[in-house]
Amino acid sequence: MSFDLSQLSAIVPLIIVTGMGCLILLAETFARNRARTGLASLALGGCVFAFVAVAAQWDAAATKTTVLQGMWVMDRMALFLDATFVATAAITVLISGPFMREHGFEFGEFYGIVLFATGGMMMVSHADHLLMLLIGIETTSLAAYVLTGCWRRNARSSEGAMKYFLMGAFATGFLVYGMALIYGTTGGEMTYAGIAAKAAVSSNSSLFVAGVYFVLIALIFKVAAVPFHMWAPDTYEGAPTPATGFMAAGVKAAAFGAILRLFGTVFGGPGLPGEPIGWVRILATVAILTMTFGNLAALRQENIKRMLAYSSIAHAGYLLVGVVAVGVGIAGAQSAVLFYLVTYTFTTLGVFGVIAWVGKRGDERLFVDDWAGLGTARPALALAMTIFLLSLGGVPPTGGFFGKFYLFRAAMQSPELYPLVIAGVLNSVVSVYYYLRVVVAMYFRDATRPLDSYPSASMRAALVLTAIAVVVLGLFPGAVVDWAGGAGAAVAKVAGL
Amino acid sequence: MTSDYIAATLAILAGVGMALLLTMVAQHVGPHRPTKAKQIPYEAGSDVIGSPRARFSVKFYQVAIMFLVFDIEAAFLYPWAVNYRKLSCLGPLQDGVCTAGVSFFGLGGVMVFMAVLVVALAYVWRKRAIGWE
Repeated sequence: MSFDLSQLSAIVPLIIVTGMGCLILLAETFARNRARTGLASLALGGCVFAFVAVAAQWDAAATKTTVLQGMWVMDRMALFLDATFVATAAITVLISGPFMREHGFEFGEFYGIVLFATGGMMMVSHADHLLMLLIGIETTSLAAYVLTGCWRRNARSSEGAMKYFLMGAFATGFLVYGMALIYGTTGGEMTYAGIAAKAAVSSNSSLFVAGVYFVLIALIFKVAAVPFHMWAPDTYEGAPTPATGFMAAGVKAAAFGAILRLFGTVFGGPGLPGEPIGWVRILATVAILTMTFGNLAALRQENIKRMLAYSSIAHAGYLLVGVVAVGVGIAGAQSAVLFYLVTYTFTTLGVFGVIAWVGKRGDERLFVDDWAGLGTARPALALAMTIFLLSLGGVPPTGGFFGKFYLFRAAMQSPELYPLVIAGVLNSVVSVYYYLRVVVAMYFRDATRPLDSYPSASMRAALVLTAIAVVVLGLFPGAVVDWAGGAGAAVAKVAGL
Repeated sequence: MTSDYIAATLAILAGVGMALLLTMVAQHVGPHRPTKAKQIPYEAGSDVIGSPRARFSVKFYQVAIMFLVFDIEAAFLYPWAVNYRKLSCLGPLQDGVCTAGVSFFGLGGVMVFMAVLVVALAYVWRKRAIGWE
């Protein structure tokens, strides 16, 4: 058994976040009341170090390498996603501390579990082996179940966690069964490269195709796409708001990372011309169903968290358009999906941050009517919320506009995908209606009750950061597109282009 | 190749069928003379105390979870111990003897595993989840 210690340098970001998570768990047991602010600082420090470590790996990862006996792939797509995950974790930590203190459930483990989830997401984005993918997805999911249910005095939180856990466990069953079928029909291949080499031949076997579909089912469950979306509204509504933002942004991005790598390079994409397995047509249908259902359901929601839960289902639909484009082998679709993920991440974190900040102990303001008059009561907060909502709707000059623009432009390169693009654009128009409903309530209606929000410097910092990020992504998308392009090109090279 | 499974399928069907058949025969052919004494939960005559749906203290679950964690730890240590020599050698073993030099992997890997579990143990200890009170 040979083992090269120097290969451990590849997983330094993972070691940093999980190590810091362990440290926070231990420190939490010693923390008394106010000392828990220190735990948030520890978590933030871990995120900063992990970000630096990821950035330090960027240059060396221009060409793809595989380390740790084929388990861990180092390329720019994975690092790009890593940076997104770490930023997600940092902003979640900034938002969650004041939220938990205000609502009276100081849960110090929250920060540690956020870091564990981040480590799990890194495993997913770096996985080059089915088992690493499984472990990463489970690490992320188990942490997400706890984050959902950590507000123990809130019955909705427990309900959401229970539903998420039961259905998530079921989806994992699909994942493992699919992996077993793939393992069996490819003659014992578990690494992505090994499966990709045999995919063309194995796709004649119906068992292999069934295995691929089982894996696909599990992954689109994790991104909450129709028809496996049922858990999302209850879970997103019940979870403490910062945890909702973390799941809607981070967990979804990680699952899309896995889908991009598996379906963009192993079961489809340039390495497997003609796409013999047939998932592209199915995923195209799923994409249209997902965005249409998500938007139509969001139209009728009064609870703002539930509305955004359906909106996040719709966004999974738009992203699946990009995945379909990757599947039919369109160059640049990969980087469009990655860019969309970044803008969506910052926007989602911001929007849930604002929701977490409005209201006070015993009075969460979760209904659209509750937000009437926010424009005069808290103009800066209302402005931030407007920016985030416009970005979700895809209105220029926000990042969300360019996210959709690049995504649909990539899909337009293939005439077969025109129906998807048309559905996507129509859905974006529909979605603007319910996003603007909140904006109208904030600016054009008078408050029925006084609007409170509690003082918090870290909440303000997080919202300023995300709002600036969303606007900068809209005004100067070039730099991030280049990074995403480098990340996308690395994958294309691997696939033999 | 599929035909290999036909015999097994038949055997399984025969087994399940036989079980169902015997149950049905016993149900329909056997005499039924229920009396009140026969219908009570304990035919020995003990009276039932309380509802069968008792609620368990959450402490039982705590103990069960911790037992699982450390039980699985022990289960992992056996195969590790059996393969320790092989894992700690830089090259293949020659008749069970390592000639290629020592690798840190055998010890280091399991140390990381144990360290993570020690963190968990310290956490539950400090949270007073180990004692019954």
